[in-house]
Amino acid sequence: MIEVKNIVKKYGDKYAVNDISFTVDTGQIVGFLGPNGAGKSTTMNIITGYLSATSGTVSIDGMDILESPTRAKRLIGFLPELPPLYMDMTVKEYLDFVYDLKKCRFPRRPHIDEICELIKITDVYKRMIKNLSKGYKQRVGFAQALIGNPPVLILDEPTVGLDPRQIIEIRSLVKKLGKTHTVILSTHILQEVQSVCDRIIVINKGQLVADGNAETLSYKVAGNRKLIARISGPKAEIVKLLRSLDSVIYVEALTQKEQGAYEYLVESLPNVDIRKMMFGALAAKGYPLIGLRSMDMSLEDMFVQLVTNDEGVE
Amino acid sequence: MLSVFKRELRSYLQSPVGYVYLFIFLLTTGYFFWSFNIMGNSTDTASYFSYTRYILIVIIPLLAMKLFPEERKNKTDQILITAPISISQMVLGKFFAAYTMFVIGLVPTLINMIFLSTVGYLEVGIAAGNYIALLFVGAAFLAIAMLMSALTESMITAFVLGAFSLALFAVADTVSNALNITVLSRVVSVISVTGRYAQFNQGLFDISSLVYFLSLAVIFIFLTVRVIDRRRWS
Repeated sequence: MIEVKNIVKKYGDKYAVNDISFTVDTGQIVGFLGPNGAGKSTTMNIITGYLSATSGTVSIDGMDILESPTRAKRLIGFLPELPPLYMDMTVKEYLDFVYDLKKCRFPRRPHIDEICELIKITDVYKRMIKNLSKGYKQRVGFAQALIGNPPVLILDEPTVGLDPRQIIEIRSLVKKLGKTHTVILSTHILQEVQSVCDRIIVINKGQLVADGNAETLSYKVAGNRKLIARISGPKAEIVKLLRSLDSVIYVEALTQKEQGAYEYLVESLPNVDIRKMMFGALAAKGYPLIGLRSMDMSLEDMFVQLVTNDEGVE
Repeated sequence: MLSVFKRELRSYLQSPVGYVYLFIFLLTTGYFFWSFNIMGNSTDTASYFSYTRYILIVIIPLLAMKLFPEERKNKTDQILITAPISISQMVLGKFFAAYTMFVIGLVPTLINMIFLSTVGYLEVGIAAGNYIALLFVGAAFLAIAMLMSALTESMITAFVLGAFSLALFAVADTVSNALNITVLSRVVSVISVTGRYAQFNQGLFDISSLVYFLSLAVIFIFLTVRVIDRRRWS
């Protein structure tokens, strides 16, 4: 659906985007992840045709954004970082304007009403945009992107500046839309990609540093598997016991969490599941295992590692 | 194009800018009419129209200054540029909205002419010719001021640049005449808006001048489109 080939964007001799290529299939929700200033917005602006790449091509459903801009742009709903709202209009006037601007062919009132219902802005429909709260402004921006029901949605940090409840709403909305749309969503919030996206593209300093789903990415980055176990019993003996297990390469007692129970960090070789074995060994000695969680590379760790790896290369 | 036009026109009518424009335009033209025709006790409209023309230098940039800087400041240009319309459609929509405001401002001044024709003898030909010339000069001036507004991110700069470049067109004659260099004044008299406009005041209806004003408008609208398009590449 979306094909981005070798796009480069230079400002003077600084590269904002340096040779990024990827394709997004129909129906995927792709998360663009990267620190501020990594080139996420620039890439999105190039995909939507707001900016032109210095070199490289973008095509939407086979249509080049520069060669047949009108047709390609018709397929895209774009929510920029700052929602492009005219403050001196009411929500109704604004959505009507967008409807005309996009030369929308759906019946006007039902189409706009349906979007307002979906985004939950029906109750502010007649208010001036400048008087709306930030959350509502963001949602009106979102509604604007949905007008004309474009198959591709490009959402630049759709949850930035919202309160937690609104964030959850927007995320579930994105998920819902993802069933019928192809979505690219940028964010620097990691839980967001984790909870919403099928696929993650990590961008740093204008370059693509990783592409895959959360699992494959952590596999790519991670070395050993890490578990945090909370075990009740004498610290020194438990450490010794754990160290004696096969495939365990590192054990460290962490803090005391409850009376008589400590947490232990257990590292094992990659691709070996030691949980059952560990449970058996502990049970045999009568040390109750009262908590166990995987310290599988969180996206945070992964992200930091990817980004720092990249810096190491330079 | 129509959607941009409608939105832009609405924003003129809902914000102070449109009314400030109308107020200043009608106040100054009203004052000229009062001093030249009422107090001057004359139905000769030549002075009235030539002063009105000078007012355009300041007042047209007032109309044009908000066209682009505001969109860039509020990032609303993103929705226009990523919408399935071409940049020329967007620019034309804006141009015609501003032009419509200009025409709206001209309409009430017709009362002055009607008044003159009822109380005395009005050279209808000269008045009509002047109005037609105003419509064309207005388009040319507006296109020039619009380019200036597309070049900057601040409305004030857009206004100053616009007024300055229009003033250049207006004083070109005076300067070249003062310099008294034949070649230069020949060239200037060809490109001069003022000189061409003055003909209409003398009752000469010169089609080539209208074509000239129209070409200016087209050229500067085209340049505006180029500037906007160019920015995407920079």
